[in-house]
Amino acid sequence: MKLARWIALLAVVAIAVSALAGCAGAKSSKYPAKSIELVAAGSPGGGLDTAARVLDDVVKKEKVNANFVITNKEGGGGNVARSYLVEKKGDDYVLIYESNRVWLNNLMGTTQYSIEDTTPIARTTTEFEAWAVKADSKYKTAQDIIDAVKKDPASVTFGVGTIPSDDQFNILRPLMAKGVDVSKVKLTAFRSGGDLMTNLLGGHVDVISTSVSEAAAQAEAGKARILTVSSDKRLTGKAVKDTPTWKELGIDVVISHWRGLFGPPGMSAAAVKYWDDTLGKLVKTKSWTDALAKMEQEDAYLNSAAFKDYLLKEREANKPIIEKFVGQKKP
Amino acid sequence: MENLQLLLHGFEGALSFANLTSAVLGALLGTIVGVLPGLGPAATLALLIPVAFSMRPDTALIMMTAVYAGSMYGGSLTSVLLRVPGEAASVMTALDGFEMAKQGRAGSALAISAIGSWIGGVVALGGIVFLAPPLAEFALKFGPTEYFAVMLAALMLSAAMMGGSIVKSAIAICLGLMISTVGTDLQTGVPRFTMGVTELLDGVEFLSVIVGIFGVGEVLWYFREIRQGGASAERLALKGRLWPSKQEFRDSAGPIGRGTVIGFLAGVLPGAGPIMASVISYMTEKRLSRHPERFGQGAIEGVAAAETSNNAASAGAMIPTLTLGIPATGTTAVMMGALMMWGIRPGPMLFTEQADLVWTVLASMLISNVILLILNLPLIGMFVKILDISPKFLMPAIIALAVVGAYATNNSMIDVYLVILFGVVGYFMRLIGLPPAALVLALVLGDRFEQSLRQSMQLSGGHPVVFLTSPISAVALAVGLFAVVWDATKGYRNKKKAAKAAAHEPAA
Repeated sequence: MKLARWIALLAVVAIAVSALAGCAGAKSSKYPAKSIELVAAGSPGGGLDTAARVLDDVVKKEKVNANFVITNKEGGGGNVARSYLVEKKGDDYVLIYESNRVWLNNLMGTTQYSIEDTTPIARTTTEFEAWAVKADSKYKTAQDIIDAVKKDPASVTFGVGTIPSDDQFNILRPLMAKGVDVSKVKLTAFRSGGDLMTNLLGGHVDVISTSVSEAAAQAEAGKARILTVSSDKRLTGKAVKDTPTWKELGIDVVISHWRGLFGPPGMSAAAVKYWDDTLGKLVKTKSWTDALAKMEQEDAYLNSAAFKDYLLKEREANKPIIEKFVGQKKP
Repeated sequence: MENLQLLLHGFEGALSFANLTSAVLGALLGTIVGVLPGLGPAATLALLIPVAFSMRPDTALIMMTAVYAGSMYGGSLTSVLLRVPGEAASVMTALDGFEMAKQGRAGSALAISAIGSWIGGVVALGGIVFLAPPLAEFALKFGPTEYFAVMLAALMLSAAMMGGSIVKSAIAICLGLMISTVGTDLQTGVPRFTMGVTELLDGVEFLSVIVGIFGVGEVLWYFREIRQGGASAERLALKGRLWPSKQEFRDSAGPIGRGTVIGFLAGVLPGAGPIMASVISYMTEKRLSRHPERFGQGAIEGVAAAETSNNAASAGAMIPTLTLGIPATGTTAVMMGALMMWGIRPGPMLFTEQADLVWTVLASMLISNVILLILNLPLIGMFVKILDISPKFLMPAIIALAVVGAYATNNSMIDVYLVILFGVVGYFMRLIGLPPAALVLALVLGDRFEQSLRQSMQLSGGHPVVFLTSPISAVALAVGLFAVVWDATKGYRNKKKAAKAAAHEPAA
């Protein structure tokens, strides 16, 4: 026991010394002086967990002076992790990987905490959403579907992963923009991405809204067709390079299923600056680009200030939809 | 047969030193994990991902599949020995397995479950080799309507067959369905019956309920028996043989054969998986048996059916994963996530683009099943030693295992409270004769059951006639209805028979 402690102490000293040596030329900032807990607000193996592990991997490869200890706080749709973050108020050594649930859950009324109870650090990556139909579907374009729904809102069945989610917004927002009475649209949730795809391929649902990567795997095998993507510009992947965006269809909607880093409320300005500097450089490295390509994620880096701004705008843009269709008052 | 050649080629890859070692390690680890309630195979695989990342994809996948198979074996150990199912799919094993242990036949129960699991796993893998594409097409035919009907039929069958009265089973099923509604509703995103507890937003953890009702409930029951001066304070130690008798082998042959087929087919359906497989094949055996009253009292057929089919089902679950790139279980979902870390895209193209990898993994699944059999049979003698421990130490140890396991599931105290709460629930259910397995089954299927009903209603615009126009659904409902009517009228038929007999006798 004592020996182990000695070794641990020695190791810490060694790391600290080398860290100091590394920063010797830099400013007086000593952050980070110890390991940082990186909380994935989801279960091991899930999207947020993978994002955390990829970041850790790139940080190690690029020899960034930061040591992550990854923990998983799943449960409560991320609310367990959110409460934890609030508990750690002012602590510079906790970061959490989260998604738009940071404001969504609050609007849904499942937690009292929202964007204001975090310190946004950076938006790192994103995925976009796609509309997909079965290969032999009678619908050839997204416009066909919109026309059909306009004529009779109940004539097309839509499937999404969960409610509320970007999957769902990617159906409601374009249809609302086209003046469709979305309260009559048949929109059904099918738990996981896997269930959703099975139901599409089995012909049980006409159109699904899901992540581009999920749809692309089936499209490349010729089992499904992708009709639109929710990105700002066209994407480059093999299955989607000829797929129009909503904007090209004359609908001003962009939906980004992003993942980002947050600190606890009241994180010090020095720590935030450290991450702005470090991540700003990290996302330009080849290790980062390679890792993203493997995970089929797009780079979506925003620094702390831009990210906060983005979050507030995103929350405002989606508020009316949630109030209207998911409808639950704040606690 | 082209597939057979590919499989043989796969064996070449699987038998390399590194791959064989990782299969053995994975099988060992899986068995240990299966024994511990709380640490399920999906969570273990996720913990292994950082390690797996440093290996070649085939070696890592082999280790993962071996962990998966091992946990299925391990789960049956605690079911039989302690009546604490390590995972949901082992619940049916506990029914007769623990009764057998009480009668000093733990060795037979464990041997039959190892052998049954082995046969189920190996034959189902053969099924993957030859039948994967057509079965994948079949699985696609199951939409919400079909799922709902099949699950309704399974619940009706359980109500009819769980033993005791149909009314009591129905009450237990309703309780299970009610508990399954706790949590965030999928179709609206609104929390239901969470009482403001954040952890309950994800619903009530199955494992806490299972471990509570079965494990803790059993311990409480034990105390009652001791207080009432029953003979149960004695040790459960093995009486007689470690190995099943000829008669036991003969009794198990049919259940193993049928369990393999049922398990394999149920496994192919995404989401239904191992637990449905074990329930359906257990019910089938009870229905076919000439002595249905022995089920639940230590019938080896019940253990054989449940264990064979849940293992066959976990092999069958690989079909949608491999042919469509769609994970059928939480564990296969983690495996697919891992594939992406190596830059291999899971999807319908996996079989063609990564043929070598897929066939090597399939071959190694066969090998890990063999390893598990070799590993498990000699160890049975050691495992049953657990029962030599005096109940006054064993029973508290079960409580400790249950509490630690519950905490480990989500690192939260809520699950510990749930285990204790459901321990008490389990005790009272036993006191008034409600079958706990019916509650657990309803709880596990409940969420999917409710959602499929609502999904099919939404998709059809609210016309319940879809349940009759879909052939799969119509057949399933007819089977379920028949079972309930048959059993509900059994009492009436018996009475009639008895009345007839009584009529011939002089009145007392």
